[in-house]
Amino acid sequence: MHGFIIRGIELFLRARHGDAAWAAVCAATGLDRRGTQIMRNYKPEMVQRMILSASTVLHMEREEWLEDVGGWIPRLDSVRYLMRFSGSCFEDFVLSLDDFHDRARVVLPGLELPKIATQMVAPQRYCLEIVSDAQDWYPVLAGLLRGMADDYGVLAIVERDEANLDVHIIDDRFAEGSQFSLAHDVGGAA
Amino acid sequence: MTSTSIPVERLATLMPMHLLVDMSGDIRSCGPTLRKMIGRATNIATAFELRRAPPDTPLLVALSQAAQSGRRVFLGLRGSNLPPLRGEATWLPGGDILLNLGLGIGVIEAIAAYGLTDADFAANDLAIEILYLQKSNQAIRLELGRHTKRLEEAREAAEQQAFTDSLTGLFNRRGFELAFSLAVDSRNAPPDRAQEFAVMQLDLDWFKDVNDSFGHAAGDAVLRRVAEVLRQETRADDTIARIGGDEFLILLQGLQSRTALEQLGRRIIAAIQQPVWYERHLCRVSASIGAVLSDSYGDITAEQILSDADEALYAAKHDGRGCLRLHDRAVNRETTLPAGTRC
Repeated sequence: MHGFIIRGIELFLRARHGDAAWAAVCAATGLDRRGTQIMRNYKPEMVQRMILSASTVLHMEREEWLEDVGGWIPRLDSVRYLMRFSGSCFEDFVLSLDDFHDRARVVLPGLELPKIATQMVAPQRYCLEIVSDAQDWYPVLAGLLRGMADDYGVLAIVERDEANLDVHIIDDRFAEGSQFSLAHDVGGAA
Repeated sequence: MTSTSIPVERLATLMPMHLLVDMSGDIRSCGPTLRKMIGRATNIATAFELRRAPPDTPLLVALSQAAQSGRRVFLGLRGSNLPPLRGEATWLPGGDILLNLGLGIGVIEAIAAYGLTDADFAANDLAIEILYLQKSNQAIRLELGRHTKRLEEAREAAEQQAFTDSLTGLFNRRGFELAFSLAVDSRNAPPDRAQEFAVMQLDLDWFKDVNDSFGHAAGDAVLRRVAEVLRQETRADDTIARIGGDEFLILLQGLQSRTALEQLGRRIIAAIQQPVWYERHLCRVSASIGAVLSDSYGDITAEQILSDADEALYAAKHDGRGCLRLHDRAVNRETTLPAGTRC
């Protein structure tokens, strides 16, 4: 398993639940509590062990915890900028998830992020299917979408069907979205 | 409204990825780069399928909607795994639709698949720059990965050294403390997950005599032999450490039986009492053991256990050496082994 994902879960655990929770997960999984490495390969079953021990330690349902992970991603400024850049409105962002897998592959070959097939089923209504064996991505993606809807100031309902996510935009001017400009992030040529 | 016209042949250089189609979708002009990708297709529908759009939307309807609204349109190349091409469409006065497409993140794959070069892209297209970035990023990442791996190996080796007694290959005190604190934590876990353990503190008898009579090399040979005995008599998940000159600590996971502990002690002592040949000298040592069972305690601390093991060892020495004494917390005195284990 790519260290990118392992390290991501570590950062989430430490930021959201504190170092004690991270230490408990390390004790259960055998990970180094001083920190994992983004450029290393871990055993394929490591992510499952982390999810299991985290939900046990924190007394949370697996799905609920995974959704929290997804909801936390847009709070990382660098990631949020990239995601906001990939769509000028929430609808564009949802459709851009189609490119997610290929973009990740260009940045970090070997990082197998799931292929997300997006489809507009009706105006302001989208169906997202994850083309991957790892069904654990569904709650993560649901959390991510809810977090990004907040960021765009959009009221959207994200629901899990049998084999896909249903995204329904109820009000696309629900609230003032958070400020977004790439200018101060990229800098460079003035 | 004034309309300015561009000769169709100029489109090819301005927009090497354009498509000009009439109302039935027939291709009236196609950029040379796009032509490399769609082959001899004469109608847009034979080359492309609509993506990211409501199902069953006819391609031409979607195109005219895109031309009207100015929104992007996504077209998957039939018979290819490339990510969909994306572009914008516009109406031309005669009713034709002009479509200008781009490769998106699929650009790197497309460059490889269709043998494209800088000349295939418009001057304002960053395709080749993306390729540069990706290739150099890949090379640097590979180097960094190699470097990280080497550092990791060096760190592992250094850590192992820091926790190992170099003479015997057993753990040293730091290594033992690490394993022991984990055992104490897991013993103090909630009852359904708590795991008991036993600790033995072992001290060689008459070791100083071997050192004094036959030299340190003989002493080292004895210590290595003792380490071997301890390895043979314990299980793989037990922890054995040499913590001082001739002093050893043994952590026995899951061991709760007093009888088993005493039997193990007897076996270890008997094996250590077997004389060791070193060059032409016969070295004889024995061992005294102080032992503690964690299940005779309520809450435990590492300090308490180690101090009780030390106390039990002192009692074993006091009782004539070559024997095991168990620290019995319940009655706060050391139990005595049956005669015969003494030497």
